[in-house]
Amino acid sequence: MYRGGDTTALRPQGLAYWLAPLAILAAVVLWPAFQREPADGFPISSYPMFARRSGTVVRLATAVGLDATGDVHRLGPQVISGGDEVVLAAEQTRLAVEEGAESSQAFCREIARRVRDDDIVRVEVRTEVRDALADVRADHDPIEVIVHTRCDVTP
Amino acid sequence: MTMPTEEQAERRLRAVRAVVAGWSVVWLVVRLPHNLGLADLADRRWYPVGVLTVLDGPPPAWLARSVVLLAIALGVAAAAGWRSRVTVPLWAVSLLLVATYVSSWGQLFHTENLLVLHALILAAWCLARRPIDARLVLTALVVVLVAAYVVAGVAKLRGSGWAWFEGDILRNKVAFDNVRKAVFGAPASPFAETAVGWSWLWPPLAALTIAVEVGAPVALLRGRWATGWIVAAWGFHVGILALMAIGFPYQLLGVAYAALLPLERWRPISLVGRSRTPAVAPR
Repeated sequence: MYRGGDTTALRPQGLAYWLAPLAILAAVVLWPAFQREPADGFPISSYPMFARRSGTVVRLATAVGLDATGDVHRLGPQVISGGDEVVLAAEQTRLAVEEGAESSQAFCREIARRVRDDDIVRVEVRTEVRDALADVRADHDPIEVIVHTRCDVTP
Repeated sequence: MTMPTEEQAERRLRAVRAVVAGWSVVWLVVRLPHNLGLADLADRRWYPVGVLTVLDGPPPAWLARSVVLLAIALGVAAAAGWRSRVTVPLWAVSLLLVATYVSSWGQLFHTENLLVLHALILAAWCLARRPIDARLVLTALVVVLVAAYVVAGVAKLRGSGWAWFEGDILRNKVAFDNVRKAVFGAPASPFAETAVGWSWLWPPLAALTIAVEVGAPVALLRGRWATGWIVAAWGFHVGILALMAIGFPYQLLGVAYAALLPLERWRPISLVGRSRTPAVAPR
């Protein structure tokens, strides 16, 4: 009896035996690139993250901690989204901001519950406008800050 | 890297199954805290993709965590070649579910696409009712690998046309990714700031990117073409790691290219999952 995964010799049964399944596989994987808009998905994707033009001035929705004097503290993806992935934190923040004030406030409170730094008394959900080329490390003040909402950190 | 004989191909395919499933176990274990923690996210953060788009909301936490843990156990069994007809398809499906679940919270990961596609091909091989020529399965693994690179290159050319070769699009993306990491308090690339300041660097990097991606089909020619392309593709991922601190471990560790490598010559791994009784091809 044939045991799956234990292939033995089998003569290729003509060109179709080889080409048909391979052509189907190739078509499935290549398909997203030939859509009107290159599609993203999983596990089939056109990997479009580099495909779109973007300028040097970028808008980044994020969340920061504020201490009693109002100084800004970076929170890190673990506090912002509960995981260690930067892009997940960025996407969760962007989506919360796009969904409006209520969603932003709910997201802010979620973040505040995860803050473990005693110096941070408040969380601010904001969009920072920055020149990515001139300020790769985000060392300088943003060009513009748009505050969406704030919430208190309760011990 | 010439086309292997049938016997070599069979041993290579078993070795590929072992390293692909083995790598999936490493990934699942390393990412276990993150993958288990996703179940704690608020339901409104659920943005399902792929096969999970059928769900209106996230699956119950106990179910999601159970599948994550089950995938590890199945990955171990699949890597060992234990009852492969059952364990390999179940491993592939559980891996598809876990990787899709991980990408269903707002961030589409692109690092596990090939791993999952390769797992599904290995599952189809193990499910087959009749023996399949191992060389066909190996070629299928390579075709998917090659197509994944080509599709990325085509998307870049369609999205930006010849402007891609000016290098600014790539440079801006690298700068954006690094400033985003900084804004989120995460480690960025130590080389990015210097590199984005060198405008001369980006046109050749952009051209090399397209050469690796659109030129991927040369790997199907095998021999030196395949070797050269693997080295170039690996270097491309090293570049991404260096400039963006983004790791594609499946590619960086060489697992993605395993079907092109003579793994059958590496005795310890070629013995993994070998059947106790030789299978008999129906005649």
